[in-house]
Amino acid sequence: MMTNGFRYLCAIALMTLVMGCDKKEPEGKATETKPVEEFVAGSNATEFTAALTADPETMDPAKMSGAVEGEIAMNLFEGLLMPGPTTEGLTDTSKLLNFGVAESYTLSDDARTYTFKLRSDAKWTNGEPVTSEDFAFSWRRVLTNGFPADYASMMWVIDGAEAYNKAEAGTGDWETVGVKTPDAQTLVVTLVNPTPYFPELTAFYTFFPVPKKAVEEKGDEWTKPENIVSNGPYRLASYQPQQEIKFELNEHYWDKASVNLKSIRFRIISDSNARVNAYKTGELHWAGSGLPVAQITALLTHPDFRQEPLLGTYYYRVNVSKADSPTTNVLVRQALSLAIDRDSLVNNTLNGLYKPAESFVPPMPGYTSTTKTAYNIKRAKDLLAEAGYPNGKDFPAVELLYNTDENHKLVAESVQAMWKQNLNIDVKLNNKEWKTYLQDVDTMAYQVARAGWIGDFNDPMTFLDMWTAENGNNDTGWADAEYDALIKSAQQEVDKTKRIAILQQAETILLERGPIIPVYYYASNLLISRFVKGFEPHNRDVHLFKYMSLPSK
Amino acid sequence: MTRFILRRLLASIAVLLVIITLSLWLTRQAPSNPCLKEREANTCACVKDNFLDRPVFPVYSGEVLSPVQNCSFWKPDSVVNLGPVSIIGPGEWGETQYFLYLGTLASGSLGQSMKTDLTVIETLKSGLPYTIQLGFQALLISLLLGIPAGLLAGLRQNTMVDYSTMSVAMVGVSVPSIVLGPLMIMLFSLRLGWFSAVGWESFSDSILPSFTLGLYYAAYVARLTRGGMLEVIRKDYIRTARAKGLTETMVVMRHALKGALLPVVSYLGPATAALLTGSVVVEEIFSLPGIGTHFVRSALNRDYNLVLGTIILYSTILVFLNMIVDVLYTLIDPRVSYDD
Repeated sequence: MMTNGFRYLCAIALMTLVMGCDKKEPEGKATETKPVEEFVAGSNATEFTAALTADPETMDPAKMSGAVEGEIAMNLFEGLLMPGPTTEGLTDTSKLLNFGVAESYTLSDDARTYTFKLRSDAKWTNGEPVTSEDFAFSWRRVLTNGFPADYASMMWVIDGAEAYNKAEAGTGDWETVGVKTPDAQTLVVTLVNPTPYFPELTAFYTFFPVPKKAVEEKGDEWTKPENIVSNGPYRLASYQPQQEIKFELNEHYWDKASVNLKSIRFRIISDSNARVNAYKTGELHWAGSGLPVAQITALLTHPDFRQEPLLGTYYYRVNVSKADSPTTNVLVRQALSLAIDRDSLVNNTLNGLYKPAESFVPPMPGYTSTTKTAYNIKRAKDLLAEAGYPNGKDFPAVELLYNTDENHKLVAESVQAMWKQNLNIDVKLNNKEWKTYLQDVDTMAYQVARAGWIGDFNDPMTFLDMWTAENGNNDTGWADAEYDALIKSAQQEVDKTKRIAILQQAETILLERGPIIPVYYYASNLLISRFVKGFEPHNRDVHLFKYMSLPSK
Repeated sequence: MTRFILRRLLASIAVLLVIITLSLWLTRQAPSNPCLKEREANTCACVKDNFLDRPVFPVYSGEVLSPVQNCSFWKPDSVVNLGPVSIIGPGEWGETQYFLYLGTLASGSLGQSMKTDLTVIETLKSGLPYTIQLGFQALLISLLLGIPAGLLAGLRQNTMVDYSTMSVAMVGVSVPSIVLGPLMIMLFSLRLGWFSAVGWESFSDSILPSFTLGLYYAAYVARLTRGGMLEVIRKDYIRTARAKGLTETMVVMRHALKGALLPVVSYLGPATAALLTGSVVVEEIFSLPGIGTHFVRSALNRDYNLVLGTIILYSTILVFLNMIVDVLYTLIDPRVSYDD
C-alpha cells in the first residue's frame, strides 16, 4: 500500500496555527500532569463513523493498490482467507489468518499445490453462491494483458501466470495457468515455487473474487453503487464523492450472525488536521492513522490514542547509478548510515512516534534480522576517509530529495545536521511535490531520496525481492549478482528454516552493500474511541469491521 | 442589443477555446503524469487507457511524449520533420491528445477522471451545488455586513465610528481565509462547540465557511460603499434635499443611498464570479465536498481530465457572468450603450 505522501495547500499554515495555540495551555501547570483534552469520540455521530483520507480510486479489488481502497475492499469483499482480528500473529503465525470463503485447504508434499475447499453457504449480496469459478474468472481478469490491475505481478507466484499476463491479449492460453476448478466448491492452485506466504496472499484484495455475472453485464460500470455486487460482511449502500460512503450489513453473508456493527459510515476527509478536528468534535469514532505529528504529540496521553507496530520501514534510497555521485561508493553509503543517530532522531525529533530501524526488514513473526544498523561516528569517519574524503574534505555536494510533508522535512533536517556534525559533509535538502518526487525517483534523477515501504504480507520476501536487479521498485540502479542468486534460491527452497537463513544472508548483503539507509520502522499512531471493542492491533493496519462492536451508551 | 449579445456569445466561445487549448498544454507541462504511483504498478495499461502515449498536438518537438519506460507507444504513420519540430500527417491529427479531447467535448462529455471510476461530469455535478450555495451565502453576508458598515462610516466621516469600522474592514481585507478559517474552527468548533469542524452535513455546517469566504468581500463592499457615500453626500442635489427641510434619514435613504450603491452594484458581477470560483482554499480548510476541493486534488494528482473539466466550468462561469454584468449595466446606467 502506498504511504500516502502528498500534502495540501494549507496544511502547514493550519498546523502552525493549531500547534501554536494548543501548546500554550499546559504551561501553567506541572508538565507531568498535562491535562487531557475533554472530548468523546463519536458523541455527535449517529452510527459508527470512520474517516477515509481520500475518495477511493476504484472499488474494483482487481484494480486497486492504495490504502483507502484496501480499507473498502477488505470489508465489502472476502477472499479465500482473511486477515485475522489480531497481531497475536506477531509471535504466532497461525493466528495471522482466518478462513473466509474457503473453509479449509490442503498443501501438496512439494509445497506447490494448494487445494481450497470453499464453504457452500458463501453468497454474493444478490444471494447467488460464490463458486470456485468466480475466483478463476477474477484471477484471469487480473492477469489479462492490458487490464489495469496495479498488482497483477503479485499473482505471478502462480504457475504460468507471468507468461499469461505478458502474452498479448488473446494469445495466452488460460489452460496453462495453474488455476483449476474441478467443481464449484474446489479451487486447485499450482505455484511456480513453494511460496509459504501464499495463504496470506489470498487474503489480499487483488486475489478477492469479483462477481462474474455483474462484471460481464455492466463492464466498468459494475462498481457503481447501484450495480455493485460483493461477497463480504457489508454491501455498499451509498457513495457521495468527497463526502461519505455508507456500508450496510450484507443480508446474505454466511457469518452475518457474528457481525455487530450493522452499518458503517465513512467520512471522506483528506486534510489530516481536519480529521483530528472532526475527531475532537465527536464526529468520528476512528480518525485513522497518518495524523499530523504536531497534533498527535498533544494527544499522546489521551485514552483514545494507540500506537501499534506497522510492517513497514522508512528509509533513504541511494542512487548508485550516477557515475559522478559519491554515493556510488559503498564505503560512503556505509558511512552515511553509521552517522545517523536513530535513537535520538526518533525520540527527540519525532517524539517517539516510531521505532528506530535496526534493519531493513521490520520485526515480523518467524524472522529476525541478523545484521543490525549501528551508530558509530568513529567508524563512519574512518570509512569516509578510506573512501577518499578525510574529515569530509572535497566531498561533493549531495542532494537529499523528499516529498512535501512536515514529517519528512523534520527527519531530513535532522539527518542533514547529523551528517554535518559527524562527518563534516554538506547535504542540500530538496523538497518536491508528491508527483514530481515520484517521477524523479522513477527516472532516478536523484542522489538520496526519502522512501517508505509497507509490506504486503508477513514474509521478509516482500521487503527483499524488490532489490533484485530487474525489479521495477528498485529504482536505484543497484544490481548484485550474489544477492539476486540468494533471492532466487530462497524462492525455490522448500525447507522453511533454510529459506529463512538464506533470506537473512540476503538482508545482510543488502545492509552492507545495498542502496539503502534504514531510518525507522513505521508505527501506526491512531485515534479510536476507547469504547470500541474488537479493534485489535494489526501490523498492516487492516481492521475489519466484522469483528468490532460499539456498546450502546 | 441582440446583436451585442450575439457578438459577445461568439467571442465567449472563442475565449473558452483558447482557454481549453492553453490549459491542455499547461497540464501536460507539469512534471510527472497521472499514471505514476509509488509502487511499480501496471502503468502502461493506464497510459494507454488515457491516450497518454500519443503526442499532445499535431506539431511537437523532440520525442513523441514518452512518460513511462518499457511501454510501447502509438506511432504516427507519417511525420514531417522540420528540424526543431515535427508535424504529424493531417490524416492522423484526430489521434493526438488535443483532438481526442476536443472530440470528447463535442460529444457532450468531459471525459473520465484519470484517478477515480467517476466521470468528470459526475464529479463536478456532485460538487457544484455546495460551491454555489457557499458562494451565494458568502455574497449575502458580504452585502448585509458591508453596506450598513460602509454607510455608517461614510455618514460619520472622520469620527471614531468611521475609524473603527474602517479599521475592522482593513483587517478583513488583509486577513486571508487561510488564516481566518482555522481561527474560526478553533474558536467556534473546538472551544465553543457550536459548529462541526469539517464537512457539510446540514445548513449549520455552511455557516463558518460562508463567513470565512464572505468577510473579505464584506470588508471590500464596506469600503466601496463608504467611498460612494462620501462622493454622493457632497453633491448639490443632497444639499438641495437638506435645504428643503428633509430629515437626515430621508436624505440618506431616499437620495444618497441610490448613488452611493452604484459602485457596489457594478462590483457584484466580478464578486459573484470570484466567490463561485474562489472558494478553493475555504473548501480545503473545511473539507467541503465542493468543486474547489476537486480542483486542488486533481491538480496534485495530475488528473488531466478533471483539471480541465474544472477549468472549463470555472471559465464558463466567469465569462458568462461578465457578459451578463455588461448587459445589466445598460439597464442600470442609461448612459452606457453598446449599439453603435
